[in-house]
Amino acid sequence: MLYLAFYFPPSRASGVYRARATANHFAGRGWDVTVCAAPLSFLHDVLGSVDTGLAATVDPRIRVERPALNQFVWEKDLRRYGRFRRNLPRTAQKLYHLGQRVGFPEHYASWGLAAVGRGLRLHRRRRFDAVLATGNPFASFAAAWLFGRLTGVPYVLDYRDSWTLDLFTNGPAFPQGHPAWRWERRVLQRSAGAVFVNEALREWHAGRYPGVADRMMVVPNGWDPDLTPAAEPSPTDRTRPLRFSYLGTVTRVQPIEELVAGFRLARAHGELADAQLRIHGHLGFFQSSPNDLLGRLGLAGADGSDGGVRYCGPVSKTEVAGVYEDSDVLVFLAGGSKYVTSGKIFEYMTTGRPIVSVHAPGIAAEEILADYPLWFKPRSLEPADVAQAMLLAAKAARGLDPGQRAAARRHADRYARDLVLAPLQERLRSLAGPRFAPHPADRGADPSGDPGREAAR
Amino acid sequence: MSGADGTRRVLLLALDPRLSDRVLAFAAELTARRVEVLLVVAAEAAAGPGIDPGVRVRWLLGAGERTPLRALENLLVRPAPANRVGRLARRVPGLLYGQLRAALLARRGVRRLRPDELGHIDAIVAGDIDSVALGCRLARRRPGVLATSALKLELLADRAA
Repeated sequence: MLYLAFYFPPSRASGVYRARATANHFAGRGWDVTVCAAPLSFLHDVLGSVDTGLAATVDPRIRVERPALNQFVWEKDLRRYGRFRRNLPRTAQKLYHLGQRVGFPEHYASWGLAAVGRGLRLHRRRRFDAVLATGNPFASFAAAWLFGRLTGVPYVLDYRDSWTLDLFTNGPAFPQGHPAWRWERRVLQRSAGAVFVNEALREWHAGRYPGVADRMMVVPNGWDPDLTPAAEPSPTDRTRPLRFSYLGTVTRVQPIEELVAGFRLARAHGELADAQLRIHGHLGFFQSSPNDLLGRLGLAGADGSDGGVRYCGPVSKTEVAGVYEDSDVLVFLAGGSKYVTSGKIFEYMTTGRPIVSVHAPGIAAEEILADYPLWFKPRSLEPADVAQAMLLAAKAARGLDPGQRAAARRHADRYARDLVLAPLQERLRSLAGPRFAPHPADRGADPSGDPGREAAR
Repeated sequence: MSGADGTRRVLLLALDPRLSDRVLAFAAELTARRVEVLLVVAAEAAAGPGIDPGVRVRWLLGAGERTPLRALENLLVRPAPANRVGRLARRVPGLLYGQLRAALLARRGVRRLRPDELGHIDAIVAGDIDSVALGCRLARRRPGVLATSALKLELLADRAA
């Protein structure tokens, strides 16, 4: 299988876990997997963040190729500009944008093209049976389409993220007539399947492209047993202050102010007077993000702690279990709206702890949390409602018994990554042809089983 | 590379015909952090209101100064005659001049900026597209200095650290 996944370890972009798990799952089911991923220079110099520990968790049988990417738009070091750009910067910029207009409308287009070239060279040596492309970036979709046109190899598109739908406004991400629409129609029409992370996204795309609806399926995100620490339930110590924890990357699209205001209001109640809200993780994905986000947490100028809110910094993999064990209530802070599911929620559920939601009502993650017995959801993002949900979650945390924890964990077990990926692997196996017998690990698995389910048709 | 008094100094180039809000905000942010800013603009007219009073401004073309560059600009980019032929006649050379403007300003900038203005600087920042050519030329003359087109304070902080 040729897997086009720009964000792949050691990248620590939010979508990288799905790509890592997918490649590992396929390799574990007997596939010979080649991944085309981002060049390391992009991860180091542009994103400025890598997780080398995560790279070590990639199945060693997987071959990782890193096609080149034209970094014109990201290159800020004047000394690295070529002679042409140094002398005629406007012309260089015009030519670059012209390439975007006539080629593929994304800065990653050159990577997609290079991935096709690399794929063709490898295909000549040993034929690929199927292509799986994950977006963003969506140049991977165009690359899968072009590779398919040139070789006839079937391809499946994994919409890990949305392309033409703006997840934060629920409206189109591009104006009418933008080339992205033409490209999306083109790549979908020839695809052997399209995968979405939740039913709301699948429905939106099925409505827009009804001719392809019967090839669409939902593969939710899940949790990875090899990365998820076993946070042992420790009986909540009634003598110490309650700890609310958020673990994950804090981003600008999350309702940070609402979280802080809600927490401060909850603290006004005697029961939570000394409660703590601990934020664990990176502040943003870029080197420049931390200052803004600290300000929004109300911690600008503070020494990382203020009024019970504390920023605890990034957490290494080995410390994650400790964070969960020291937490009484987990805060699910998410941006976006009805189409958003966060990967973090699956790991949260495995801890068997109360989860309090701080996000817009009606987001797709609620589909996952609905049956989680320890979920506390405010009616709105008004501070009073957030505080009320926090109070209820705190109460549940104080009185939690082993039976409740076990029930919560059973719900999480339904989303173990191998379970949710099984239907996708079987779809690609069926595309690859009859000579591929089911892998022993899949015999007896129910391909249509919830939650990795085929779309209702 | 900072001055003897420890003050950090930034040469901020903004040679587009109009100063952008982004450049103005960046210059103000730098001065607020006690960074000395020398803002280089193309013409005196571009250095209008909105520039933080703490920013020193330098222009490459003085008001009324007669230079071949200004003559070329006037010839090619001045308001076109109202008729269609006139507009077309101006358009092509105007477009061409637009492409060459950065290189022409860079030549002038290298001659115009005094050595003392380029001494003790910590960073050369190209604030817009027309500043890239001059930024690149100056970067070659000042090998140890940060030369960037990113308007980011963090880069400067990293450099100081």
